[in-house]
Amino acid sequence: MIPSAHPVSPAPLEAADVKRVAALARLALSESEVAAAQRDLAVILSYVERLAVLDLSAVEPLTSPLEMKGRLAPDTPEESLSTDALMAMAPASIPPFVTVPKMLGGSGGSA
Amino acid sequence: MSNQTATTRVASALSAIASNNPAINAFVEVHAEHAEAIAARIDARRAAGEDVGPLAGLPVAIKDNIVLARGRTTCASRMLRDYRSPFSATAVERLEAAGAIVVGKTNLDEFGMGSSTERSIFGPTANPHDPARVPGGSSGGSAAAVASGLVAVALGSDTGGSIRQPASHCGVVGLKPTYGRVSRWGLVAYASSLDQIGPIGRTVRDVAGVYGVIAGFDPRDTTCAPTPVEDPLGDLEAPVTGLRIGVPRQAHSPANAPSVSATLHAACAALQGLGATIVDVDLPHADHAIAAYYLIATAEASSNLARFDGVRYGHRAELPPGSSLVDLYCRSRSEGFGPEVRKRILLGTHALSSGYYDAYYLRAQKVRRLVRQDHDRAFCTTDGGAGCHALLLPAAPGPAFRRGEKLNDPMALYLEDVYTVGVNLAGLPALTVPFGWAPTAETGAAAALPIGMQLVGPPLAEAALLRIGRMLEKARPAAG
Repeated sequence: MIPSAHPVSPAPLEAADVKRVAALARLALSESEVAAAQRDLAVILSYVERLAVLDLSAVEPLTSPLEMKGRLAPDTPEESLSTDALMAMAPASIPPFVTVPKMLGGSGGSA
Repeated sequence: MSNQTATTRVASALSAIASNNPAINAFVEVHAEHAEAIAARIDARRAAGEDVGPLAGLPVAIKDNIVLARGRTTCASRMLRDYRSPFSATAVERLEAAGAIVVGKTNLDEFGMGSSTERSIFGPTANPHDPARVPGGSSGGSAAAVASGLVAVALGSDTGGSIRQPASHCGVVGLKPTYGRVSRWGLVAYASSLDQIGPIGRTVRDVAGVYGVIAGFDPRDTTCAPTPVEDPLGDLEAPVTGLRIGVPRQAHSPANAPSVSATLHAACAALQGLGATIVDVDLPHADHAIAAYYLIATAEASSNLARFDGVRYGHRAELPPGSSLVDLYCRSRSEGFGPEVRKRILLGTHALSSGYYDAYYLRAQKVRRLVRQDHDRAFCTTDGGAGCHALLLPAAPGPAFRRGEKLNDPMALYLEDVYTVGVNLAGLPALTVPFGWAPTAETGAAAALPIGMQLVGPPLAEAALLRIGRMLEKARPAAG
């Protein structure tokens, strides 16, 4: 049951690929972190290549073990978190607002 | 569960934590004053003749990715280092309503992403059987807290084996319930279609008692099953005569440590001696489960952890003037998440990204169905199914390994989960029970290390698993 850790040589993954994925994931990586991620992801992606040998053309994907339809909550108002509780969690705020850098117009300042 | 007062039990737990936790690092936060106050209240109510609940006065610990409306919930991450939840998880509310007393929060791999409890902002947790070794993970703090006698029961969470593998490495009992059996409300999400909360305890009876309290429908979790919960204590001592126990062919891997293979054989012999029938079964897609699991879990993680953006809660980076909102997201997330979490987010984002979705994520979901069908056939009594009441297999391929041994090999640590991830993909219940020992000649440790066996059942078969586990517990050989 236990497969070899490195069944085939790692597939090449370019640094540009890692940077593209990091941008999608909203992660800022240094060049050395990109290189490390490139190595690690190549090993893992090489390992998961074993799935490619299976004929899955007639298999339906399974997204959840329950396979049930979403259950709707009853349409009755309930108490929700107070503004004070939400503000207490925010790292920067001018109650009742959470502050962020400017979203539009280029040079937004840090909040 | 005990004739002692709640005050005495809490004082005993707090004393043990004060004496032993510095060496083990199982607890990351202790709530002494609150626990003492609750204990005094329970004792007063009991003295007044009130019903104080089935778990009255039981000190428990909570893995620090399960929220509590006091103290911090950190997920062992810089991202949530100072996060204070405004509410408690349903499982915790139910424990407290039953009279249990939360004495503190336990260590874990950051956001549950690991199998060794080495990747935590609080530092690693030590295995109580050998401090140079890992307790397993990611619920390593909970397993070590129980194994070292600091508490009798702790809550953990299990996404790919995070209750069962540390239970094996620490020589304690761990139950991963059926997906949907225990509310996930208040569990910080890692991979939502795989995560479950479950108990880790010193005995099968303790685990059964806590499971019976936390299980059951919760309208706040839309994936929580509305099915009534079978009393897990009712038939706990019933014999296993006539039960069919399947042993997957894949469990006899040559990569198993000798002590793991020996323990599997001994457990089969013990169950046969108790009147169960052992049958061979095949889980033909077991070899593909790890690959499918790490694609699905990381894809779901990349989505779930998108909420940590430095805006509403969690770590926010200090930025120079002129920085943009995207700079805030990127810097806050890169500073807040540790290397393993960043790696898994990258992998999951890649698996979901345009051009790769079909090859990775969709393919993994199809393999997930095959893994489920393999298990269905093992349990099914018709259509050529093996008709098993439960499956027996190891919880991990070896005993606890040395700290640092697998830290820098991305696949070596993932393969620790080889016997556990299939259960999460299929949404099944599974129980780890300590049964064997790895001798010092095999491990080089100063004393024998515990080896756990895993029982896997069809959906909602927790009571049956606990009953079989109880029989194994009684048949467990002493350390050699």
